[in-house]
Amino acid sequence: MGMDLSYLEALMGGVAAEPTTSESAGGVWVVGVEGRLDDGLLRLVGKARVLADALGAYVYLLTNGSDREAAESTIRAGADQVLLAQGSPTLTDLVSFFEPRQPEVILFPRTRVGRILGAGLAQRLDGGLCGHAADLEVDPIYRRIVAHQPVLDDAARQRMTILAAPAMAIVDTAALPAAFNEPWRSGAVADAGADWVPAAEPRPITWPQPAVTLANAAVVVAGGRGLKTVEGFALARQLAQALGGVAGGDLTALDAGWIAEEELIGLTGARIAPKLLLALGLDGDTSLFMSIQDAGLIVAVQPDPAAPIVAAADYNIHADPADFARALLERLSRA
Amino acid sequence: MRIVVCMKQVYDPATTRISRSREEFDLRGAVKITNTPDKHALEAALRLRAAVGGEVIALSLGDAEADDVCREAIAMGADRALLISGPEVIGVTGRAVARALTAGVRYLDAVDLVLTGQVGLTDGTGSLAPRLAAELGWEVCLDAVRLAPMTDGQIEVTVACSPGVGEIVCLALPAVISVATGSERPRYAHPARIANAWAPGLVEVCSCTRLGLDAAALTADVEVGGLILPPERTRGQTIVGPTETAADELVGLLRTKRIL
Amino acid sequence: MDFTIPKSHQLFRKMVREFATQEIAPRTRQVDRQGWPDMELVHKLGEHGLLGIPFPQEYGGAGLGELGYCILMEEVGAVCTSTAAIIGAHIGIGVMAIYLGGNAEQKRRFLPDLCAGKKLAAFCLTEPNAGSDAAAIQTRAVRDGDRWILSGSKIYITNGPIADVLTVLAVTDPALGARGGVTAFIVEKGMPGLSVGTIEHKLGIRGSATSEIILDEVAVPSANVIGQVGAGFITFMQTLDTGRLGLGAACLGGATTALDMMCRYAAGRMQFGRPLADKQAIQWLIADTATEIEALRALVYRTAWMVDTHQPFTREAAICKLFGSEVASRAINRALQVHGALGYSCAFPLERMWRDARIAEIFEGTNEIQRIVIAEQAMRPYGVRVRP
Repeated sequence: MGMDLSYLEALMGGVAAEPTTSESAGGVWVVGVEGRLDDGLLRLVGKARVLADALGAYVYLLTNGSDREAAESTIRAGADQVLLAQGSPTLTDLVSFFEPRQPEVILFPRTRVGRILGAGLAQRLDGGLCGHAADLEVDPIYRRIVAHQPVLDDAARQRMTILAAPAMAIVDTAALPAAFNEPWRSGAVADAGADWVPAAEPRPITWPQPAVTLANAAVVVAGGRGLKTVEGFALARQLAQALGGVAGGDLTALDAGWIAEEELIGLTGARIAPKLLLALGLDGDTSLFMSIQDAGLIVAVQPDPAAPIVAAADYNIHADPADFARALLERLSRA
Repeated sequence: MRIVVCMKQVYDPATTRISRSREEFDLRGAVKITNTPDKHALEAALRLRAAVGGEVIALSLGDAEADDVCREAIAMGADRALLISGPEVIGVTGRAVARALTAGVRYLDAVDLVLTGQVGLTDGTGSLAPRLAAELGWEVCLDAVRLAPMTDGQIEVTVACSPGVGEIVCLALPAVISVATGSERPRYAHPARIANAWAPGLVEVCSCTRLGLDAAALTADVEVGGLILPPERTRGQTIVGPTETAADELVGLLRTKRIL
Repeated sequence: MDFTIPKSHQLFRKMVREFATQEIAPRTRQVDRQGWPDMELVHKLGEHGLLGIPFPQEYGGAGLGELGYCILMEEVGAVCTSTAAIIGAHIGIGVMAIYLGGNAEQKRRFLPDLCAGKKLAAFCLTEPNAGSDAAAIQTRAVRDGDRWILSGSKIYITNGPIADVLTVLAVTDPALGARGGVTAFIVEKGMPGLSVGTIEHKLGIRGSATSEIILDEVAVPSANVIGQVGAGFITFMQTLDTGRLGLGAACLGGATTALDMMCRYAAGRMQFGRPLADKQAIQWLIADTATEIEALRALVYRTAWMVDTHQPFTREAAICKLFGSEVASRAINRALQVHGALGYSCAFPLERMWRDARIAEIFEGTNEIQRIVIAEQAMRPYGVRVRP
């Protein structure tokens, strides 16, 4: 460990002395027991850090996915103590691990293992659980954790105050802000004293998936008159592929013979509800607008600032659609 | 094989609105339906019954209206249903739901398999299956797309990790399995079964007291508060600058919106 | 007064709506274009128990009564008039004639396969020289021992080319006329002398199959006489009563879809800087349609209740058919007007709906015949016998 900057913790209201395993009752725990240390887990450690600072508590990370060296990154992300374990725990293993430690808060990432162990542990420890949290905060008056749970496909988030102790949450780490990487943080790495049985290797399998259609695609790249030529429209198809979506077009694209009838978006074609609609050179008319009402983010590339689509799109880029498509393709292939 | 399928009544997300001014659900005009992911679980159970024989029992918890869920399950093919109902189960939270349903499973006796839907529509989290497994002390598996019983008291489960990609795991029975919505589409209820689903004796209604649960077991583990709403949609914004920088900016935007 | 629809029927409506949206609606355009039914869809209807909805379970039906049948027709009529016509010709009149007029043995023999969709039924009344004037039919049936020899031709028979079981009205005693001289028969596909004649090309319901049926000395066993010899006219008229009610229900579905499309478009289409829905001219079209639909809905479901509670309903069924067909035509015509040129485009479903709606004013008794039936019932207390 680098220099001792524990006085900073004192300034922040924490206790300066480093915790030891024996006296670690309470605390905010992060459990990452899938044999790997990924960015999601580091983000979760960061969220635990924020909660712990508000509670005046330590952050503990229980993990089987790290060696001593890699554990440093979790300390830079906010962990006070990293407990290294071997093998994969069963629910019973975790229950016997946590029962004597009486944690205040336990957070799991929302992976399949995290969902199983998190919900099971909450039930066994008699704790309170938010099974799907996109964010967490502390209610300072009652010293309670308040989880923000996505509802209606994340159209809103519901405040969920966790009443029972320990307060537990299974957190969608992708929704959390970037992980801290603060070299001045200090922490301890210790052995968890747990030697769990390694998990059995699962047998991988693949199966054919039904093709994505305009109606159920998460990303739709729609092209219109502004793409000018069939070669221009081909860029829309390439972009759709690069974004993992489906290409479509409006009546002008159909009339120009760039798309088949099944690819028409409009009242006489498909009604779409993608998370992203990238509209390349579409002017927009009633038929189109009525068919894209349920689209999430609409980005229009349209050189004419007076085109009707401009008012309907969330974001407009006033550029030549084909040029922009090429630029975007190039960036996507780089990433 | 005795299979229990947990089925709940939810507000249809298509009819559930959000009131921005009151920061809560606007349930005027909201329609209650059977949670569709639970119908996938029922479909898996019915297929399993067709393969190995046995009995499929729908298990629900809720107010008197949840009877509709039981009837629909029977119309789809379930043999019978148990509805845990009564004033004490109104508004109970996840921990208590798992305890009550566990009591229901124990009451039904000699159950080999409990299936649940992947997640509750509208405001579900998908924690029921692991909670039940913890209460029952059974093995658990999430997001199954295919179930194949094996002879030695085991079940082979194909689990979806992402669309079209997954892994095969074997569980010892009894077990709790949540069935993914990517599994076989639920069958239509059969009209003749619909006509007969309200016949007496098909749905047993049971109170928590009769299942041996006291009020302490049903205390809330969480408290539901108000909604946090995303900022209102602002249309017509412009990303300015030359093509190259605009493309960079769009990539950044798609990253923050988690589309990339 | 209790207008509550039983829970079972509410669930049935959900089931049919789901089926109609997922299985029928995606094929509506295709069957209209190809001008022929999608037989895979017809089999699916049977497989899912939808071809025996009103009939008792002992005969393989669903036991959901006339109320269930009206729900089925409304929901199917909302997405595909052609499919509604196929179901109507099968359940509403074809099988219904056997159910209403046939003996227990005939019901046991024919209904299970018909309800399961293993066989499809058609109802053969109209002839080149007898349509509205049903008593003027010329198809002859001559007794020959324990069988009857049927000769003649029937035209405009819905399901004609795809039916396996045909209920046929024929003259058994020309001297007696409609009262006692006309008998209903069950003619089965494969009987020698039975053939499909000219296939009609129609303005609408192009996804249903309509043809001439030729009977060339077809030998039909006496066991296939529906009810009594000479009772055919009454059986057929009773059958048409229930058929008309179902047709009214299908019209209710079509009108409701038209209203939905009208409102949706009026909300989305901007003209003069405001949505169309802001214009009073459009609001009146919407209000009139909504009003008529509400009246039709009350009429259809009350009549269904009358059937299920064994009350006389001839007058009400005629009103359902007359009013329903006119409401649907008006609603769809208005919806087309609201959509303007888009409504006239063949790429948009309204033109098909507009063509399809027209048939309801014609078949299963023209609207003129319905008016005669209604007038006859209205004038009866005043001692006037209305004649066509």
